Amino acid sequence: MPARGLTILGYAALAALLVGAELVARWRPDAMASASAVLRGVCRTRAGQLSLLLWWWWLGWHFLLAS
Amino acid sequence: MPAPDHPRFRPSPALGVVVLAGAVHVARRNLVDVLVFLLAAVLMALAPTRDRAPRPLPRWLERPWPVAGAAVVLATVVALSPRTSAVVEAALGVVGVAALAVTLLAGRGAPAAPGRSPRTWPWAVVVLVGCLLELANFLTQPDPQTDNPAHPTLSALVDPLLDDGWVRAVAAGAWLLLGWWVVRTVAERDG
Repeated sequence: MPARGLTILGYAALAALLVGAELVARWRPDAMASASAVLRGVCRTRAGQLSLLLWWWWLGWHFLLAS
Repeated sequence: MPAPDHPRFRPSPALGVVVLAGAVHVARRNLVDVLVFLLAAVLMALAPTRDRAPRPLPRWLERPWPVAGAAVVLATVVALSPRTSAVVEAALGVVGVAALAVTLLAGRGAPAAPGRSPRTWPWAVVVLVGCLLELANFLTQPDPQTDNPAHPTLSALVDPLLDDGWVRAVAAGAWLLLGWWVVRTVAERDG
C-alpha cells in the first residue's frame, strides 16, 4: 500500500478508535470514561478550560478558511 | 496569615502545549494563528491570578434554540461566501470572541467533577498519537506552505471536500454546535 494510503488509513483508524471509545463508555460506563467526563476532567483548571476553547476555535478557523 | 484571594501562578502542562503549538505556527508563518495562540498563553498565565468570582451560566447558553439559530446563520454565511472572504473571518472571529467572553465571565472555578472516573488514558493515547501523526506529516513537507502528497496532513485531505459550499455549511454548523457543548462545560461552575 502506498504511503498516502497508509496515512489515510492511520487517520481513519484514529477516528474509529475515538468513536469506539465513546461507544464502550456508553455500554460499560464503569470501564471507560465518556468524552463528556474527559472534557470535565480537562476543565478542572482554568488553563485546561482556556486550552480547550482555543483548540475548538482554532479547528474552525483552520478548516473553514482556505489557507 | 490569611490566604490570598487569588492563587499564585503555576505553569500548567496545557500552557506548554499551547506555547509549542504556537512555535509551529511561527514556522508556518501564519500571523493570526500566532497571535491567537500567544493571547491564549497570556490568558492562561494571567487567569489564575486575575479571575473574577464565579458566576452562573448565562440562560441563553442553556437553551438550544439561540445556538441552533446561530448555527444556521453561520452555516449560511460560510456556504455563500468564498473561503478566503473577510465575512467568514469576521463571523468566526465574532463566535470566538463571544465564546471567550462567556468563558472569562464565568470566573474562578470549574464544572462539577464527573464523579468516580474510570479509564481516561485511552482518550489521551489516541489524541496524542493523532497529534504526532499530524506533526510527522507536517515535518515531511518540503516547506510549511506546500503539502506532501505521500504524507498528507489532515487539512490537505479535508481541504478539497471543504471547497464545496454545502459541505462547508454542514461543517460550520457542526463546529458551532460542538463549541456550544465545549463552552457550556467550560463555563459551568460547581455550586
